[in-house]
Amino acid sequence: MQVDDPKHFFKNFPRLTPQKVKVTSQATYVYNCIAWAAGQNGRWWWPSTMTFWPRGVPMADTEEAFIQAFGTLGYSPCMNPAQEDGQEKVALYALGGHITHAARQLPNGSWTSKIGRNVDIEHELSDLEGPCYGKVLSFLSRVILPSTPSA
Amino acid sequence: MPDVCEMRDSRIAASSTTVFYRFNPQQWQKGQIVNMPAKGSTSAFGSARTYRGFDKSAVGADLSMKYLANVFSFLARKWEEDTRNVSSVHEMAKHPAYRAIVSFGPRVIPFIMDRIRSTTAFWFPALSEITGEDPVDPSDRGDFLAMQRAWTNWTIRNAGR
Repeated sequence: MQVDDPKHFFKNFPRLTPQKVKVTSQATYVYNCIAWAAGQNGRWWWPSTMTFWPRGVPMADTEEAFIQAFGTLGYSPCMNPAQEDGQEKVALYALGGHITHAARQLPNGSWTSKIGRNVDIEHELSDLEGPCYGKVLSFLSRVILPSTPSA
Repeated sequence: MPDVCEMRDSRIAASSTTVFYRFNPQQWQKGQIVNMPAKGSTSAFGSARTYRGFDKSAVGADLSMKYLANVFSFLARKWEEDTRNVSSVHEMAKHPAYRAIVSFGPRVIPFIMDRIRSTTAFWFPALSEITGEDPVDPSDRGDFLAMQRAWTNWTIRNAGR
């Protein structure tokens, strides 16, 4: 499997290379990074009137709003991305104070992300830092549930 | 694609004066269009003199559908490529190509519907912004295929209006 439009992809994510990137799904428009991180892959999640967003959570692309959105799934803020037994973690990325992306930690300790309408990839957190998503801003964790999504 | 296309600034048109801007795709591709207009500017694209790639060319004429189709096609491809890796609907809606498309108004709705059927980009906010409507059931928000159906039905219901 390959990324769609590699020219733009590697320009957006300069820390990744064609040799380094590990693509784990075909490109799809059905869900986005927030949905993938939340384990809800049927629709596009974003705080807007055109997309799915948990009821009662502010429609703003702020850290607080995203913490509340993931809070509806049992997540709460945590201090770091270190892998912990029985815990599943999500990292939020932000650029200019606006949330841009979310990644979910895999059982092997690496991270999985849906890239916009593009592919799913397995990566390190810093791989996606750059002009498109900005930097990792914060981390959330929850106790792994029986229905927790796998890789 | 012609070398030069004209595009209409609907915000100017709304004030009863129709103003056109000459659009040069080559200049856009070279990245010479770099700034959004200053707040309070009279044009969606700022002064034609300061916003290279657009050049005020005519007042009172109408824009041919052929030119509009060409300009739309170019801008749509540009927007779809640039936002392929983006999840943020807000970021998508801020893109200059997207703003230009929305500024065309209802005439581009058929082009957008064609695009929705043939590509996977998230065009629904543009349709809503242009029409002022949202035919999507709240329970279907974010469901691409359900939104596609809702907007297709909306265009059928509103054809010819």
